[in-house]
Amino acid sequence: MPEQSFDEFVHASLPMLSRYANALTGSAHAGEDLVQDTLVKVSRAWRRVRADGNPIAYTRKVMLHTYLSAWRGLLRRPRTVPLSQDWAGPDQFPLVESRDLLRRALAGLPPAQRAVLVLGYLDDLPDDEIAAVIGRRPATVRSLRQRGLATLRRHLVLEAHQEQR
Amino acid sequence: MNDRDAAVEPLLREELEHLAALPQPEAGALLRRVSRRRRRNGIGAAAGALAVLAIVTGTVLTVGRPPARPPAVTPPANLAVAGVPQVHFVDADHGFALASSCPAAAGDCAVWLANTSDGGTSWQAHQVPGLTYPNAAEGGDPRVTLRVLDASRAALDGYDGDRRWFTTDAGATWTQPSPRPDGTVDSIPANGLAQIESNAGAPVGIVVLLPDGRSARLASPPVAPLTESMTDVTVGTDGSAWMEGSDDDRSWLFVSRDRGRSWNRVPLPAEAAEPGRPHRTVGRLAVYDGRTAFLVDASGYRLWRTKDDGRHWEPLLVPIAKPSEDVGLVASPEADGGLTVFDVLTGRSFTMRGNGDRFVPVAAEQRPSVRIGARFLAGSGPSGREPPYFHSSDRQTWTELHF
Repeated sequence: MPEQSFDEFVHASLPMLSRYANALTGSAHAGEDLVQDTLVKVSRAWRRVRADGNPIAYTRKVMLHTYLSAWRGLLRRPRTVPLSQDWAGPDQFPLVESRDLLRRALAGLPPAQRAVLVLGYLDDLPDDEIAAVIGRRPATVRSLRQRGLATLRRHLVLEAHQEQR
Repeated sequence: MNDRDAAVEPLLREELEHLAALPQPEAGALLRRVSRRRRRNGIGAAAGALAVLAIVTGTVLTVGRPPARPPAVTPPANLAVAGVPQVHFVDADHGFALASSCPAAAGDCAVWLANTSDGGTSWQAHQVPGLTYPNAAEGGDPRVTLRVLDASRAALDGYDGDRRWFTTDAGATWTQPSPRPDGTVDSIPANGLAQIESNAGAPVGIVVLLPDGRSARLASPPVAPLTESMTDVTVGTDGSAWMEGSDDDRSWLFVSRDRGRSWNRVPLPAEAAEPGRPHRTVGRLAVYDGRTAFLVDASGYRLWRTKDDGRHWEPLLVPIAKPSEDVGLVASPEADGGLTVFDVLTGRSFTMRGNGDRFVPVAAEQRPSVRIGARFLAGSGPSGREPPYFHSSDRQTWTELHF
């Protein structure tokens, strides 16, 4: 079988990588940056990655780690909110409002919790696979998921109460 | 999973699917950007190699001449502490403080390292080359950690873990060694500093800042996966090293009495467990002399003391009632193995001597203070953490931190 070049790999894997990156970062621009940072790292090790035989799994892992470590740095910087995605026309208000609440709550989650939710609910990965990808134990994955869901639930309930007042 | 989670899950799935379907970049353009980034990094590495060559050449050419020490610089009048104060005294007289000089309008703040050899009565300062940060309206931060090794050596480590400024002459000259660990050491040297390197899901490493400014991994760190941010290595005045930290489920405390060559697990008091988590404690370690250690539950206003590396923990009667306000217990270990606790709301403080078993009120009102090596630092305002800041060797007489 001919060896896959890095360019071929990028063309083939981009939809999957973008899917993860957009769900992790919550925007197409940030997702694109995350894909780019990930691919720069993978390209440096491409010969070894290709020889290992599972570049997709390796790249996904690199992306998760890049996301988790980059987020730590972003914690100390002011965060921008994409205004165009936060407000919607009045005709779609009910639908957009619930999505908006959830998106805001998701954006406020610690990265490890968000990563666990993305891997678990976007691709239905089992806990042990999630644990292997993010380098935590399955029990920690369960704990992170529970805390993430609890935060989302709390946020939605709180907002609903405030709306009722 | 409960019913309420089940109600959130469909919404979450839908939202994640929606986000995942956002437009993807065009593959050709993305590959060009990746290629440019790699080329730029390659050029950077080559430039770095040339710079090193130039420095080596310069060093060879100047061998034999006495090192040129930059002339003393008069620090700017607006030199002040920015952000959380970073001050450390290696003894009662010699210390360092991180300071900033910011323009009145927009622009970049310059970072300076101030040093004193008279207990903070007077300060000299040197600008740290190439270290600036934007002058933000809400207050900026140099984004470096001051790490003091002795009276003349200090390192400034960038928050991003990629940059280090190092001085061996109290800030007069600087080098920029890599902060990344290179090689291993068997023990923590007498004037080295240790810190925990968390590895997600795996046992920690301990990285030692060496007296020459490089970092190396400790050969035999204790085996524990510490992933919380509150992880630390504290060195007692007797040379003992204490390592504490937690992951999501468990807390650990280890002590080494042979400068990090071997570590013993220190059991923690069962009563200090977090509700619902029997293996994780709510307290933090307070140790100074290295023989006596305190576990301080700041939010629960509880204290424990051990004098035998955790074989026995003795609960102590805290002389301050837990207030209704959200104010944590402030406690500071003493040189004789005792502890002083502060009632932040009333200004009263209580101290217990190393050989004592109860707290007694301190006659004079004391500022809540924290140890900064051989001296104490106190702030102002209701929280006790706002400027102006004061330092003291005995917490009786205070000197304003002023450059």
